[in-house]
Amino acid sequence: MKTRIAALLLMVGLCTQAVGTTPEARLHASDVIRNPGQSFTMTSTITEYIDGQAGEPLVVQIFARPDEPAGQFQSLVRFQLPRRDQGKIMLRRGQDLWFYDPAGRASIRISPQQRLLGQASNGDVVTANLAGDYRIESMHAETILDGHRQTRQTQKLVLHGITAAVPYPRVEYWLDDSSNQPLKAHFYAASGQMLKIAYFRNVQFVMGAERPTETLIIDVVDPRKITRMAYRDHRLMELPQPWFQRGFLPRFNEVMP
Amino acid sequence: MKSASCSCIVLSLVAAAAGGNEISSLPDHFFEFDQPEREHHSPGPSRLRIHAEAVFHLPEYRTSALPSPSDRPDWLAGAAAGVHVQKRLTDQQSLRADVQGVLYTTAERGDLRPTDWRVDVRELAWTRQSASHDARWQRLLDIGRLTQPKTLGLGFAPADHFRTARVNPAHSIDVGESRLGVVGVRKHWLWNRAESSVLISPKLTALDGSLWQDSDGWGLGLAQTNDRLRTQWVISFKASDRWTAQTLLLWDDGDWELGNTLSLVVTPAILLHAESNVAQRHSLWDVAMSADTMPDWGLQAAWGASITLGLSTSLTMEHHYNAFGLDHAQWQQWQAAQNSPAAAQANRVLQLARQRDEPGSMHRLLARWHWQEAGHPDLDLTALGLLNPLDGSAMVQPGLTWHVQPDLSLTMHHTRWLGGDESEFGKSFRVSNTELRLQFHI
Repeated sequence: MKTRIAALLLMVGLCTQAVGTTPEARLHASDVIRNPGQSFTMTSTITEYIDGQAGEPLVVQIFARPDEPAGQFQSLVRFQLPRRDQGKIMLRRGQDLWFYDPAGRASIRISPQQRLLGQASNGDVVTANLAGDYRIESMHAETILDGHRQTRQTQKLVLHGITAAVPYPRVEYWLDDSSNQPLKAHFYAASGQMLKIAYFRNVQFVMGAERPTETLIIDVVDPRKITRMAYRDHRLMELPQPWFQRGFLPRFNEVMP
Repeated sequence: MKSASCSCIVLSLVAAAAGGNEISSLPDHFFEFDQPEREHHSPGPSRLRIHAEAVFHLPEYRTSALPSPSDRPDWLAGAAAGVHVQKRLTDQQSLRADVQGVLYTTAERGDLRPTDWRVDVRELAWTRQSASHDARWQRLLDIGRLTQPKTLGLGFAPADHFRTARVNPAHSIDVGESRLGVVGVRKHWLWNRAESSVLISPKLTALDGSLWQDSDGWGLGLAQTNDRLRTQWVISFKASDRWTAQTLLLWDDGDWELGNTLSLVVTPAILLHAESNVAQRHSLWDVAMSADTMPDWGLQAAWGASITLGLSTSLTMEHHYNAFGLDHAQWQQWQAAQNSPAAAQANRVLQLARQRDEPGSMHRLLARWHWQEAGHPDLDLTALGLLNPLDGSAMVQPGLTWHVQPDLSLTMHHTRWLGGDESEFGKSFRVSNTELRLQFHI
C-alpha cells in the first residue's frame, strides 16, 4: 500500500495545438500535452475495479515541478485517503525515491521498481517524458476506438526505451492525427509480454489548456483488474526546489496544509 | 451478474488488443464516467491526525528462564491514542505537536494487575522558515522537542545517534511509535541537491517532585533524551539520481562520533544501502564484566540490499557489524559463565545491547520479506528473521496485516526465539509471543 501510488505525476493533457508531422515532433508534442511545463498541483482519485466491483478509492494530492537539466518532473505525492495513509508522502526525483511516514517521522528510500508494486505501476503509465527516454521505431496511421468508444484517426508510434530506468522497455502509443493528443497506449515487459493498456479520456480545459483528466488502465496480466484515475483541482503554483529534498518531507505538511 | 460478465469480457481483451478494439470489450459502466469524477470526502489538509490502537500479547515462557513466576504474566494488553497536530501560525512560522497517551495492563493466572499509564510528548516544536516560495534555498529554525530523522538501516542504524530515545512500557509491550525527540535548537538549510542541519541539545534535568519528573506518568523522559550536552551536524547530498550520501558528526559531551550513510540504485529493482559509525566507547563485554579498561575506538556498520521481486514482493537483507559486541571467543566465555556465579553479570551483555540499541554479537544477519497485496488487495504478509552466526541462534517473526476497513487495520505477529539456553536469542525468557494489534485512524 505504501508504494501504491508513486509516480502518478503529470497526467495532464493537451496544452498546445502545435502539431508536428515527424514522429519525433509528434512525440514531443504529446509530451508537452501531458506536461504543462511549469510547477503545478492536482488531486487524483484512483479506483481499482476487480471483476467490475470498485474498491476503496485512493486519493492523493500531487505536486510536480520541472527538473530543468533532466527534462523530467520531480514530484511529491501526498496521501489523503484512506485515512490510515493520510499525510504519507512519496518523493520522486528520477531514480531517487523516498517514502515518508509521519507516524515514525521516518523517510525510507525505495527502489524504482518498488514504486511499481500495486497500483503504482498505473502511475508510471501516465508519467514518463517519453521523448527523453524512448527511441521511435516506427509510425503509421491507424483507425481505433478511443476511450469513449469513438472512432479516431491516429498515428501509432512504436517506442523502445533507451535507458535501463524505464519501467516499460516497449510502448505502443496512439496519438490523435490532428492534435497529437494521447489517446491510447500499450505497455510491454522486456520479455515482450503486454502488461497494460491505457486510455486517456475526458478532455477538459484545465491549467490554461485542453487536457485529458482521466486514465483508464486495463491490467493485461490480471485482466480482472481495471484502474480508473481521475484528476481534479488542477492548479499552477510555485514549488521551490528545496521542497523536493528528503529532509523537507517531515516539514511539507506544515508549509502546504 | 456484473462480475460474471466482466470476467467474460476481459478474457477477450488480449485477443482484441491486436485489433485495437479492447475498449469495446469493457462493460458499459466505464462509460458512465464521462462527467467529472464525483467528489470523495477526503480530509484535505493533513494538519490533524488522530489514531488509536489496542495491543494484546500472548507469550509462551522458557521454563528455565526468569527467577520468579510473577515475572511471567499470562497475557499483556495495552491501548494507546495519539494526536499529531500541525498549525501554521503565519507565512513563516508554524507549531507542531505529537502526543501519545498509553494505557497498559497485564494478567497473571487470570487476575488483572493494576493498570499503568503514561503520556509521551514525542514532539513539540516551533518552526520559523526564512525563504520565499521561489527561493532556491530554504532556511529553517526549530526550537522545542525535536525528532531527528532516522537513518537507513532497517534492523540496526548505527549512524542514528538518537536511536536510544525510546520509551518502552513495562514487559516490553511496544504500543505504537514510542520514540521521543530531544529538546534543543536546530537550524536546517536546504538547497536543490544538498541539505545541512545543526542541532544543539543541552543537558536538562527534570526537577524531583515536579509533575514532569521522569518517574511520573506525565514525565518528559529527559533522562533518556537530554542527559548530556550534544551537538550534531548533518550534511546530505545527492551525487546523482542513483547515489545519495550523508555525513553525521556528533559531539557527545566531550566525545566525538562520525557517522556516514550511502544508498545506491544498482538496477531499477535493486537498492543498496550502507551506514557506519565510528565512536570511542567500552565494549559490551567490558561493561558487563566491569572490566577496568579504557574506552576504545570502534566501528559499527550495517549494509544490505533491498530487492524487488516480481510485481508484489520485496526482500531486504542486511549484515550488521558491531565492534563493541561479542566475538566468537567472548560468546564462548559468555556460555561458560552461564553455569557460574557470574551468570547474572554476563547476562548484562544482552540488557546493555538492548539499551544501546545495537547487536549483542559482533556479527548479525537480518532478512525481511514483504508481500504487498498478497492475493487480496487488503492483505499484506511479512516475515522477519535475525540470525547470530556466531552461536547459531535466531529470531523469526512472520506476520500479516489485514486492512479490515479503510480506517481500520488488524496486524498479527508471531515471534519465536530459537537456540539453546546458552545462546543469544535462546536466552530470551520467552519461547514465543503472539501479538495482535488493532489500529484505528480517525
